Amino acid sequence: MSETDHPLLEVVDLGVEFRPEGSAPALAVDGIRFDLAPGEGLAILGESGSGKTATALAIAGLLPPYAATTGRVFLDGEDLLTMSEPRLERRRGRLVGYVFQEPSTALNPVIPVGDQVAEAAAAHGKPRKLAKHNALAALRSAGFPDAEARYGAYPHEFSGGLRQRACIAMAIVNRPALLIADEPTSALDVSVQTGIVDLLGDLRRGFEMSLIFITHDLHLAPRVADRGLVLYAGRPVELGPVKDLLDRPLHPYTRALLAAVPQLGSGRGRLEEIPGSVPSATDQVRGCRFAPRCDSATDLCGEEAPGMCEVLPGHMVSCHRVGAAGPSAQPLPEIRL
Amino acid sequence: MIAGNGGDALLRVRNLTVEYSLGGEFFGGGRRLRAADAVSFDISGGLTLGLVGESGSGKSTVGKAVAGLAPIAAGSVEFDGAEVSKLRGSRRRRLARRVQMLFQDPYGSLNPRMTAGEAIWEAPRFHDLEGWRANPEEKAVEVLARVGLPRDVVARYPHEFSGGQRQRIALARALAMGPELIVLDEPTSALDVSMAAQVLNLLTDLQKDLGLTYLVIGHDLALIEKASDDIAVMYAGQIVEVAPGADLLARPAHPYTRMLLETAGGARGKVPPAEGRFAGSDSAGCRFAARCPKVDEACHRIDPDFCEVVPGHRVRCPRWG
Repeated sequence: MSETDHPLLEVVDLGVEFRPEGSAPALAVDGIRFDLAPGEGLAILGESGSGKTATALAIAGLLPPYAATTGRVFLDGEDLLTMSEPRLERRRGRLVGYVFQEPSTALNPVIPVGDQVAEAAAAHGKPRKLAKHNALAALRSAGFPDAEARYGAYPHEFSGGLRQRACIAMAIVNRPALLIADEPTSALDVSVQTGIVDLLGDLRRGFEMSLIFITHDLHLAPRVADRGLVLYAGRPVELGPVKDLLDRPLHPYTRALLAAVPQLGSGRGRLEEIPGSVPSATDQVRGCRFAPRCDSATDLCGEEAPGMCEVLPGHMVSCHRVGAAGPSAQPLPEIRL
Repeated sequence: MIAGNGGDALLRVRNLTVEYSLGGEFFGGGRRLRAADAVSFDISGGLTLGLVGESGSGKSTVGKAVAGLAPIAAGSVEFDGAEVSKLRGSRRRRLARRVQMLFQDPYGSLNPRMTAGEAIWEAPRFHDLEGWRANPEEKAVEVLARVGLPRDVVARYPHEFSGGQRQRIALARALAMGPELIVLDEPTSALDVSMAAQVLNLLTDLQKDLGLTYLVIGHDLALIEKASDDIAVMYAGQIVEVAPGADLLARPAHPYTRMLLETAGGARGKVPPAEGRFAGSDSAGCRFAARCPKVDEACHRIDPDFCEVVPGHRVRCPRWG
């Protein structure tokens, strides 16, 4: 982590509501708050519908026009949510790089990969020759030692893993201060997943870049991130050091989620399951959104939504059963990982 | 015992070889990819064999061949004593009923223009199964209840459901046929963690209640371990190791299995990808030799046999041969 106190990114009570024409408005994200120091890595964890992508798109200023935001997103001291479109265009490429989940659709199939990386550089004012030079450097950093030979290749000549590396090259070619990787390995084979995740970790350290790594796979998080933010149904439920989230999760949802992942060597049998399903973003829910599925819920949980509360240094939880009374009020069952 | 050669297996696969044409046959090219090569295993009734491997290892091809959905170039698939490829007419149709397949992607496997009910009763009505012509809706409601879905699901369309619910509907459709063996191809890979656990537990319960036999295919060793009695590991179109699950995890004999276990345990590094071979291009030696950390000179010469290292535990490795 960097020495400076000044965070690169400050997200304050971010809310995102999608208002598509002809459908009910959906509150995808509400009350997200965190900051990120220069060079720091944060994993945003959650299942589908948890709001992780909406959060990331809001931070990158990439939300569609029918999305309305509340709160503030300060990136390098400026509020992105109120910035004019032309200014956002200019600032975004230098400040934020974005790696999407699906590398096959993120690349243009009829343009050589190297040219696409160079185009990303040229879009931010680099002269053509320099753009190509930077593109080659970015490709090498992204794991193409033979960047010159690969420069003219088309996306279809690459495997899924190599395509994602090309997308990463495109995202880092302007040396952004913040790289956002949105489920970058979900569309890939397991055999190449760890390679991509470790590359992101290496780039983060090598370029002293901040990283937001979005995943549904909690066990990938410690490879690239210092802290983790767990989302459930668009609300933050737990924020803390990744290691603590995995070793001693405090929120009942985080605990249930970890227990539902099969562990190697635990033998044949049933898995711990979370009953029910995630509420829809169009549902009006009073109280804690996890309460209907929570095995330690009380009447209060159904009445009143809990707020994020720091229960251990640097470890925040949004839960009536853990927060107010302190962690000692509720003995935590051992979770074996 | 699945891994051995028990006499009472419900499914017996011997030297199964599946080849796909890669086109160009007009000009005499006609290369054929051998996606599965001399694959042999048994599954006893009521048990589960987990087939684990990476993309391109041929695991889905084996599953499809068992369900009668892939061309068998050589070898045999015997279900309940009858060789599948030799069945014709009504006996072939009866087999289609007894062996069902569940696919990974519940979005792709359900017709968006059919209600859940229509998707479920289409096949049993075609096969004229008892009660389905007279009373399709009631029968559909019965199988939906088995997978934990309410009555009103019958009249709704796939887009109205979550991924987990869709996979339950696809499962209900398979159950409607009254199958004995279900091939489950990555049944939870497209689902969220909490939904995956629910669907996997549902499969376990149904197996117990209905006495089902499963061939479950996947890439996640921990998940396959949870779901399977025996585990077979595939690499480059071949089964390289098969054993009871606990045994395979405690005493992996094949270097590739060990590599998979290390990667699954979070080690840094990458497992070399497996690829099928072209028919007729077989060079001698073990397929894993080029990537094997334990390789020696013999590995490039000897095409390893599938030998039993301890009862029920077989491995295809020249160093064991």
